[in-house]
Amino acid sequence: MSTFPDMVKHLGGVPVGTGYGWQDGSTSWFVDAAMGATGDGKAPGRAFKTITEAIAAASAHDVIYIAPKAWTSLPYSYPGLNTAYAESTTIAYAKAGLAIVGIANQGIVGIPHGVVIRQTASATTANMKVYAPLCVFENLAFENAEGAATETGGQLVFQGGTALTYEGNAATVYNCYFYYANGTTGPGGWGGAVMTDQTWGLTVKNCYFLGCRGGISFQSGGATAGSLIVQNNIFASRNPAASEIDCDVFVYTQGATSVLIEGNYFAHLIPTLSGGTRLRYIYLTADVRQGLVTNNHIAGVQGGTHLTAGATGSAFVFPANVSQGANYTNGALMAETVS
Amino acid sequence: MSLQIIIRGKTNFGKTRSEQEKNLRKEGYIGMSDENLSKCEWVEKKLKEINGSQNSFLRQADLSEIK
Repeated sequence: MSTFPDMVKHLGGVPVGTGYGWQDGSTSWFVDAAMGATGDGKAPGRAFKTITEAIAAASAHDVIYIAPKAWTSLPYSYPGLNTAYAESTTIAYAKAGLAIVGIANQGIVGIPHGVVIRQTASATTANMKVYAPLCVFENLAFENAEGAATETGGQLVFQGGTALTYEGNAATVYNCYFYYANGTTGPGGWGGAVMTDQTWGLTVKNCYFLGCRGGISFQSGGATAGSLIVQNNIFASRNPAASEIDCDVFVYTQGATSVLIEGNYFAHLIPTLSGGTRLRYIYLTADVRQGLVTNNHIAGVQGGTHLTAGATGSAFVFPANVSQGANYTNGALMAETVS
Repeated sequence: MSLQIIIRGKTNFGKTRSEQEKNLRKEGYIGMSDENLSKCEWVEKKLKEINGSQNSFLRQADLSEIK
């Protein structure tokens, strides 16, 4: 991170400033399911009723504001999510730089939980699949209905692999909530809450993952491309044994050129998912070229033992070319294991 | 004879992120914390001083990094 003399910061080489999301002439669109009839989407009082309509109308670098649906106390909506927009949507390549921002009614605490997006009945489809680069997602909640069919398609999925067609690269996910992503297929072995397939770059900050089999699963677009930034997130379980979690952050085949995993709190004991393939908080395969894992905390007393990080770590697994800063286990510095 | 005014082109809910956020609040909504809004206004002012930009989108992921 560098800093301008006036303290305007650069983040990972990406300058703070124009170029993402709105540009001069960009359009703001509005979605509100409470509308009596769908409008033209161009003002809060003329909002579309569905996210699908807004995405269809939007062009590159537009923004879509989504109002929350009514609060519900449905049992699978712990800790009390609003009624979901039950839509599976896709963002095509042509809509590069689209920003989708959840908005809350003023005075309501918990902005990220207000606008909830759930996949449609087809559980093989992601809640939202992104083929466009440079998109921004803020204040959104993604959930899988507990008791429903296994959600194999992931929740917020970024797809790459085909130039000028599938390039879900360099997205930013901020202040979002992911609930019960329990997919079992897809790159890396599951449909993660946030999942990339052959994309270049992803930033996930200030998000909350609860009961997700895979939190973030990242596959970059090539052996020499891709950076992943995971900062200030919370990964939690719905039960103390973390029996529905396999891995919170997983970077795998054709890994990333650079990875920064910093300041996250893993608020559960070591994952114990039956049939899990990783069973770690963080698992970076040997393809990752450079990285830093630092200032992360893991929860509670792990059977009286201090967990470790490194090539054969019990909590964090990463290759030798990834550096460990100060990570904490049971309040102590985490030791590094070297194979 | 009546004069009919036809407005073409896109709507604009505000040229900057902070302007859009303030307009959202006028409509009874909120899209970012007061703290991030304050940071947003500050950065927009700096950007305008630096490069004259009056049309900017600032991601909250960036705003949260400004201390």
